Amino acid sequence: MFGNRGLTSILSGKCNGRSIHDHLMNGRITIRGTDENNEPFQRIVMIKNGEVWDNKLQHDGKSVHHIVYGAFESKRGEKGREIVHFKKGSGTGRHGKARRHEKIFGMKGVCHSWYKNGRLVRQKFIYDNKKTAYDYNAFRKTCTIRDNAGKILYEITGVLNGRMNAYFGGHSVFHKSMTDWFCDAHPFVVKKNGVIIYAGQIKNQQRVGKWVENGKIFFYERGVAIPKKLYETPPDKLDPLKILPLSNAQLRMALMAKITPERIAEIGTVIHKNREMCLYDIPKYEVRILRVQCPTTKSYYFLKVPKDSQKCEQARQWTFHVGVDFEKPIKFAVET
Amino acid sequence: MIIYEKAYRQGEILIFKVKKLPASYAYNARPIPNGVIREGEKEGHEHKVEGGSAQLSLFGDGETGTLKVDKATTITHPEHNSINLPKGEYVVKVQKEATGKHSHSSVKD
Repeated sequence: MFGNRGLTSILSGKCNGRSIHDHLMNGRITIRGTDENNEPFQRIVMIKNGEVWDNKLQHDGKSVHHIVYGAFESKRGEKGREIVHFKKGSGTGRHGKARRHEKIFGMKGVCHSWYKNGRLVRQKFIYDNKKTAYDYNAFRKTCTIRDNAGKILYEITGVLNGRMNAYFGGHSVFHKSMTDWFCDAHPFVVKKNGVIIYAGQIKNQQRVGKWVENGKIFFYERGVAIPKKLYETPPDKLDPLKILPLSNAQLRMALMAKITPERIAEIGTVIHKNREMCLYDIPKYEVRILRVQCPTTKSYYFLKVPKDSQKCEQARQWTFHVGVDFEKPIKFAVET
Repeated sequence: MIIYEKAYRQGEILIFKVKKLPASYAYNARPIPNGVIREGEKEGHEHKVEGGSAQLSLFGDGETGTLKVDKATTITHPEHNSINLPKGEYVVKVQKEATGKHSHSSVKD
């Protein structure tokens, strides 16, 4: 008689061999009876705008299976209520669609979202006066956002950050602040009145390339803002001897990444090597340089260590205060 | 010398779980209510204690500190994975690097 979705009519009975269907647009149906095991059950179905909004099966007054539009499907297991994942094992995968009443830019409406494998593939927002705010399609990657009078607010290009959206039951992506609208790894642009007000790209959780924020232009190298002149200088024109003395380790890392870390070999000699770590001696320098790799971003950092350092691990342990505050080499339970 | 039970590292921040904080650490410690262990020099790269219940204190030039965790907390940073710290007492230190033959400073991020 009905499935999980799409109950729009109920069979009222038969008359002269013909079925009679009553179309139900809004309302609630309660069915009480016994199942194939002769156990009493009750099913309560709520319908809104011709679609099943809430479908609950109860045994002895307790919910044993529950589907709500725009939320996970749940059932009662041995340990109580369990979420039935749409993609077994991952816990995040989810196909389907969600609908949510909410406000964007101070105007009320309904947000429709379509998901595939937990990713937002389409989102459409319709204001209460039936005007469309936007219709975003992940394959097109561009959309125009309008107000409820039809005036263009923003024109955007980029991949919207809808991954976490599935957990929150179909919130509009534009419900969040502008900095959270887009996904990592893809360049994005936001235009207002034809002028770019926000643009950039994030890779490995770090800002990269040219950014526009509040109309101002910034240049980033591995998350570090650097002057335009430095950003535009070709890597072969940058001198590692001028980069290594810089006091900021992040800036050193960013600029060495720009000129490729191997360039250090041109100015120094390798004293010791241990997997990704490398200890360099540079003539006329009062210190030695230890190349280490960040376990999270995989970026190479160049740390200054004492001139008498002979081994990579010994030099690394020195940076952890071993020999002063700690007696033995440190083993980290967690390094990020 | 500090004797630790477990060590954690998030970028240049080193955190050591200790049985008891060194007695000398009780002096001149200044509480840090916002939980920011260290602010990055660039683009708000801050290591921060978030969630749970914890009291962070730093002393001197802010390169050493203590963290008393009453309810499991998390150390966050925009570029690094978060570290969960269970209840206990911790010593916080900043990784150092050489600046000359006999001098050093903390790593600046």
